[in-house]
Amino acid sequence: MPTPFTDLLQSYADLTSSLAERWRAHSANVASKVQRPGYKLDQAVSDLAATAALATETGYLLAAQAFEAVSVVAAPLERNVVFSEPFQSPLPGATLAVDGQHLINGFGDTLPASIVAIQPPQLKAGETEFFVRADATGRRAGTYVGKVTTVTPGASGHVDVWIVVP
Amino acid sequence: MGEIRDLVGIFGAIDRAAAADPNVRQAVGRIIPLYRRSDVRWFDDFVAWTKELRTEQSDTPPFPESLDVALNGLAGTPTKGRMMARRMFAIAAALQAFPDVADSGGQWKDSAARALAPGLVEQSEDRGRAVLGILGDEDLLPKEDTPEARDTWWDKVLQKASSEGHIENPELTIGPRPCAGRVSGADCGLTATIESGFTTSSVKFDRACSFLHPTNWPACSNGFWCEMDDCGEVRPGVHHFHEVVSTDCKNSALAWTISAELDFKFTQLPDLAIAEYQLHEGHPKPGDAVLVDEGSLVVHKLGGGESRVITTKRVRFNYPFSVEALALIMCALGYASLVEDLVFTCAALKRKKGVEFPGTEPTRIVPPVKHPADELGDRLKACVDHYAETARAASEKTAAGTYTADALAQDVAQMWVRAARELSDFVQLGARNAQAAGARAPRRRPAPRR
Repeated sequence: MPTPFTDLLQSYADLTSSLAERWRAHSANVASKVQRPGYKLDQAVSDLAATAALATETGYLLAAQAFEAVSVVAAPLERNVVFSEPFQSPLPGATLAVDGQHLINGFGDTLPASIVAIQPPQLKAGETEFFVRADATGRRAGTYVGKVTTVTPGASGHVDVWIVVP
Repeated sequence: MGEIRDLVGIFGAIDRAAAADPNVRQAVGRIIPLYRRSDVRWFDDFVAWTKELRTEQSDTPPFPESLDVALNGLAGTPTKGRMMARRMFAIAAALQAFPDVADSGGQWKDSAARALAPGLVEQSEDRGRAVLGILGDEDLLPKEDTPEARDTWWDKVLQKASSEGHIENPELTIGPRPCAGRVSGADCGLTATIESGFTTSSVKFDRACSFLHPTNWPACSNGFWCEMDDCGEVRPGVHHFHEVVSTDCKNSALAWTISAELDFKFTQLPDLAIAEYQLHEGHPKPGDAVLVDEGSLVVHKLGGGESRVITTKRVRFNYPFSVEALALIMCALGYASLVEDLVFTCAALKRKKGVEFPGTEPTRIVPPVKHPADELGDRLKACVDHYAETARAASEKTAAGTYTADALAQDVAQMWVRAARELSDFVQLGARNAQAAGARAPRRRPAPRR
């Protein structure tokens, strides 16, 4: 199961890979022009500006990653944990799980299933009521909708669920 | 003058009194608990900001300068529905801030009774005096510092006012306790998050939903929403609206008036209607009055003819208000509790038809993604523009000798908050970029054979 640390490591890998690709493309572009006969001072200045812009952006991105690291490692405070209104399973005593990879709001922002929990995940015999819980820290405000699967031996179904992130 | 302008005047007088006297702060905190839990004050800053926002120069104060002036303004202003609830709530808080209103029978009491009268049966000043007594009744006031105790107080006030014949059907027309939303902070305490909800049987689900569409709002908000213009569909199902709100739409040039560009998306599931909004793409821009404005309005059909209504709003203005100050400003304006107006003023009281709710089933279509490099460039530019604007404003204030150490600290804090937020967003952009790169590219179809 992904944790904030594994997510962090993965995003560092993604970022450095992305930046390396952009530097490679930029360097290749400049190099190809420098080798051409007619490469003039104003073009060199222009390429230098582009290099500076990319360097600035790289600095921003790496700083951003550092910020994210700090926030993940050092500041697990003020989590925005939200609970839904109660829902009813059509199948008493069912096992419950988020259907699909996320809940989604109207604008396409998502709450990944990894930060969404069904409480309780296993209904007791005869019980039908459950809630959706999400750690929506850093997520946009909105009302996220999705489905929960309900499974009992011999039957299964779906329930539409929604949760408001203030 | 505008009813909301006068209500802001009452809340402003309360704020100044609470700021000046800790005992008043404690007393007002029985009704508005933020005063008890913090040293918040907001009104003087709000007046200063309103003067900055004005499009016409004037020496006229933007809000009534005293409680008496505000109450006298309301005395001649008809009211009903949710606006009457706000009027009663503001006067209840004033009774705590200015206890002589209730006890001495002086000028304040007469003004308050006249201010209540327009929303009561027969519009009677005597009934106004009686309701004033109910609002200040020590036996009814909350004994504990809990939302439940304050809700019980409000319910008892309405029951007594109804049983004595001052208000008809308060459960249908007045609704729940105003300013009852839960408040929290984000962005290092510069963005306020306000969430409120209530259950009602005042209107049927379909009728309540029919007023969610923003084009209804100017007619349903008693003058706060001056404009809500549909600028068209900007992507499938998403409409861009130009919003103008004011404490006095008829005199907007001299009132507190702001505009915002908002995108709306409407979603419908069985027994559920959702209107969501957020700032239009590209906003906030330098000079925008609203830096954060997003949330949702939800109507959920329950059994037995009841509906659950939930409102959330995240907001930050281009002025360094604290979360507590923002929450109290939202309370005074009614900006974060629109659905209460829609339900109790428009859907329940007016015979007017709403607009068919345009919601669709939720789709899994992600909004069109701008190329990350373009988006990054836009964000960086907006960030730099924001800093430049802050520096310019600071420079002007320094030249004028009005730039204080507090203002410097606020500016620096805002810049860092913005930097932190943007940087955090850049990380997400990077992740999106990687995700996009990892996605399977569409296969090119083979050319038709000739």
